[in-house]
Amino acid sequence: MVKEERNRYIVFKLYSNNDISRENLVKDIWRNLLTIYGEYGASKTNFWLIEYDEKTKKGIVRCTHTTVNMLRTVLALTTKIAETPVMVKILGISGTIKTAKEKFY
Amino acid sequence: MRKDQTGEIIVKKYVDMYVLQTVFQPKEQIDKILEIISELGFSIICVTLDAKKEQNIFEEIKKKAEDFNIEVYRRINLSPKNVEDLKNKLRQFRRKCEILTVKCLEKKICTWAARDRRVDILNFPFFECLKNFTESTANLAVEGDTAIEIWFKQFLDVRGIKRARLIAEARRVAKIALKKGVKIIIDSGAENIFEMRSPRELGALGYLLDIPEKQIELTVSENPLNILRSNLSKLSPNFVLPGVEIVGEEEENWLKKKETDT
Repeated sequence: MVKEERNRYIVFKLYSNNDISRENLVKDIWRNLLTIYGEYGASKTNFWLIEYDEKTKKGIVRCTHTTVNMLRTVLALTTKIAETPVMVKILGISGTIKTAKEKFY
Repeated sequence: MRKDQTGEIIVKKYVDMYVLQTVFQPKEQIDKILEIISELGFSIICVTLDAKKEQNIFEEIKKKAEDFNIEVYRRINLSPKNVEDLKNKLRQFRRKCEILTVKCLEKKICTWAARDRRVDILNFPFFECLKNFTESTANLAVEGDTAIEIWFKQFLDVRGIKRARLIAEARRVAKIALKKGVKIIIDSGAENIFEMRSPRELGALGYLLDIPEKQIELTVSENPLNILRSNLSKLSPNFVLPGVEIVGEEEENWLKKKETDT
């Protein structure tokens, strides 16, 4: 039987002049998610930061397959993390963490 | 991966129609910034020049961009005070740049610009200006083959209620444009490199505005590319009328034929 909610793993890269910590990244993505889609919308995303490398500034976030576009919009509208200007680029989207790491990370 | 009739892979070209010259400052960082733009996936960008200032770094950017396989074109934003001023400015600047945009600060200007074939894009610099775009303006824009522009930076600068109202108004504009068949372009309008986004992320704004997925793809690739192509052919010295061009080789053959006849 096909699962109603399937996970998607979005691999992204941050462009910024300063280092960005994992805590600040999570805090600001959540803040943007709540601002744009509200608590109800955010609850549907099943958002979680799976991995983040502070050196390469690459990371993986999880969401449901129905909310990929929501997360894409949220990441695109993220302009500052802890007052540091940032640009987020999505490197790829995958159905499993393994493929996400192999292909895009 | 898309293939054409001969089986060759079609590489999609993505365009950012609105990049301010300030993105490339300081001058020493031009190479680094071009590298990031290339990484983002753009193959064409339009750099906005100041219509009043002649001095700019455009040529330097264009030269360096060749190393990164990025084509760079000129874009001028006109901010006319009234319709008369718009007409004068169009006459003055049309042949000086590849892309000409009019900021629709007033309803009258918006209407005039929409039906003028010399105008490529209608730009709405403030939230209030979006109200100037109505169904009648859309009809004129279709006649004049003018596109409308939704720029990303506008959405980055505001928060809360202001952003909600901006999204609602932009959604209304997009709905009218889609209904009437006006081309929509989504670009960054970036003042610095951190305000730029990859084509897919620019397109993500379309999800907020309820633009169908198929159309979203067009807003960052086909729509701007078609405007550029038609303007480049218009600016070429061989251009006579839309669809009519002077072809050099035919002229040579005709001369040869004339010589043999005599």
